[in-house]
Amino acid sequence: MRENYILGIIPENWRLEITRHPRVRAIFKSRWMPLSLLILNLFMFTVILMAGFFGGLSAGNYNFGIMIVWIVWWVVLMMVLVPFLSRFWCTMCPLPLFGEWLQRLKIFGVRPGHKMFGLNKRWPRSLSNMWLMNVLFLATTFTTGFITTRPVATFILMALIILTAIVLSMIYRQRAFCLYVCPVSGFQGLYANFATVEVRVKDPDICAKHKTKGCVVGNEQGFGCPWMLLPYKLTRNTYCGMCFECLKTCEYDNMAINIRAPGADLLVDQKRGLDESWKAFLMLGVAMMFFLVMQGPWGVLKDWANGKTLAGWLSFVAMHAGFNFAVLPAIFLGFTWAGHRLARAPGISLKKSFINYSYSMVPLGLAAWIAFSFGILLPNGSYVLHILSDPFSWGWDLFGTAHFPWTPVLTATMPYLQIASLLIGLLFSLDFTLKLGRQTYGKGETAVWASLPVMGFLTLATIVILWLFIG
Amino acid sequence: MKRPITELKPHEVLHAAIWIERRNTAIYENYAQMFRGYDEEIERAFVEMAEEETRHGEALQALYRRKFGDLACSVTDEDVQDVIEAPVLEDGEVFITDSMRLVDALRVALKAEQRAAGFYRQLTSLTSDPDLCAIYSELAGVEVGHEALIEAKLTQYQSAARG
Repeated sequence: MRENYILGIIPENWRLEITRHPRVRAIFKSRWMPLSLLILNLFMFTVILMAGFFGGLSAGNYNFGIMIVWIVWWVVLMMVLVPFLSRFWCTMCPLPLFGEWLQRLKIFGVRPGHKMFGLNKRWPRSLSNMWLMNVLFLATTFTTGFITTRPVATFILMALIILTAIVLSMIYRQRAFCLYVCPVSGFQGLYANFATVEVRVKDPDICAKHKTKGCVVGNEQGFGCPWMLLPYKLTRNTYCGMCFECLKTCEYDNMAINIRAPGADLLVDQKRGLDESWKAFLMLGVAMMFFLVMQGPWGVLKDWANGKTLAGWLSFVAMHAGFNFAVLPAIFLGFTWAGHRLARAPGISLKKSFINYSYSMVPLGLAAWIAFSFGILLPNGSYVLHILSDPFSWGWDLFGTAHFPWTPVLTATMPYLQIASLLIGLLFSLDFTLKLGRQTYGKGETAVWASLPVMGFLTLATIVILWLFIG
Repeated sequence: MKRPITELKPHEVLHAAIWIERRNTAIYENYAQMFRGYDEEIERAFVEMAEEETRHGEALQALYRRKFGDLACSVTDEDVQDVIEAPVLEDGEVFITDSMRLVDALRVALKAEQRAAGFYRQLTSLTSDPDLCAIYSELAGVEVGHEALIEAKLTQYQSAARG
């Protein structure tokens, strides 16, 4: 394959700026973006919380909260938003909204002075990474059997997240909750490196000479970056919450939204660390475990996850945590070590190799979740029509679809869609493995030898997931 | 319209250099503002760098008066195409990963002075105009002096950290 091309087709540095069109730029510079989306979502989440509260322990498939969050939102997130629009969910996420409004003491517009309300403490240095999010995400998956089936469990989870976000925003600076705690934020951040959209500076020289850096400290047009980034030095999507505040504050209109080649940020050799490596393991591992438990042939595992017995649930927790935090990384380490031995490059550490190659799992992990999402959407999507008309199971029929029967869609085609997703993901992962190998070991045969075992791991992982999907 | 520095006359180069120091004062003050309430030590370091740049600007103003007297000039840093001596925080995620230490803040200033010195030195070899060459050499020498000051501060800090 051609070097510096993704899959030999798209130049790595290809960009198309969508904000070069004045009307598009005007939309993103308006304070109604993203406020309008946030207000819409706030309404949706109010209904979700109400449905969760009133739904109690009733059947999840007839509950607005369960269906919208775990079918619609999750599927749209994994199949559309993350792979194509980076962290666009964060753009319109209502969960930290109250905290941010309290900090700013404003819902609409910009408050002069920009001193945020609250204690504005600095987040602990030892937790200034993804580790806390890794643990919280994994802990959330322990409860999957409850939160995806019992409406009140979804209510409790959402309420806890909102309360945590408010409390943290009153103690710590800006979007500390979103950056370090939100269980959804971590994987969005890592997988956004694959996304086909980015916010970046147009001409870095303009920023180098710019005295006041409004994008960081704020001005009359907007607030300083709530995600604590230096937008003019943004090189990867990991922590950019796509709030578009920098497009509003830049006095030189020097920020842009670009469409780009998929996976561009996976090759940015900055700030890579074990916390992000472990996020990659967790995402791939949790997808595999969810397949095994929820769609696999062993019903006892599903009973364990659903907490039929305490002993069973604890067994599920131990198995799930052990596989994701220890077993899968250990297997990957074995393959990386093999490649490192084949490469015979004494100047390169095994740790560097391990970390760099871990980013090759991102496309395959994303593909696994897309494949998993097909398994949720196609059999269960028809329930959404019912709950739209009768969100609280009170016998309403708002849109005439309350009695729409359960109708699985394209389930015969589903295995092929899942296979196609995985194979496309594998293709991207193999391509990036070699690119990451060249970054680590230099160009030439050394990189190829080092990459071969990692490619073997990825292929083996794909075969295992395929076996889980289609038996 | 912006022009490359090689198209400027000697007095315009020196005048632009004065404004570059003033620009850097503003940039360091802005960095200090970024770190206010976040890290007192780094905020103080950037405030000191801003004050240092003000002194540099005043020294270059004195040099301008000695060389060119009351000769009026309207060229500022905004009129120069090249990026000269701009102090840049390179890490876009510095606040998220909490990765800046005092030594890193000092290195921001050191790199800016090194770039400036290298830039002016390069210009001396590119120009055949003796007056321009003299100005570029003088500026390169001034920046080397600034470099030495910051390196001394770095050494002092690193010794204190070790001891």
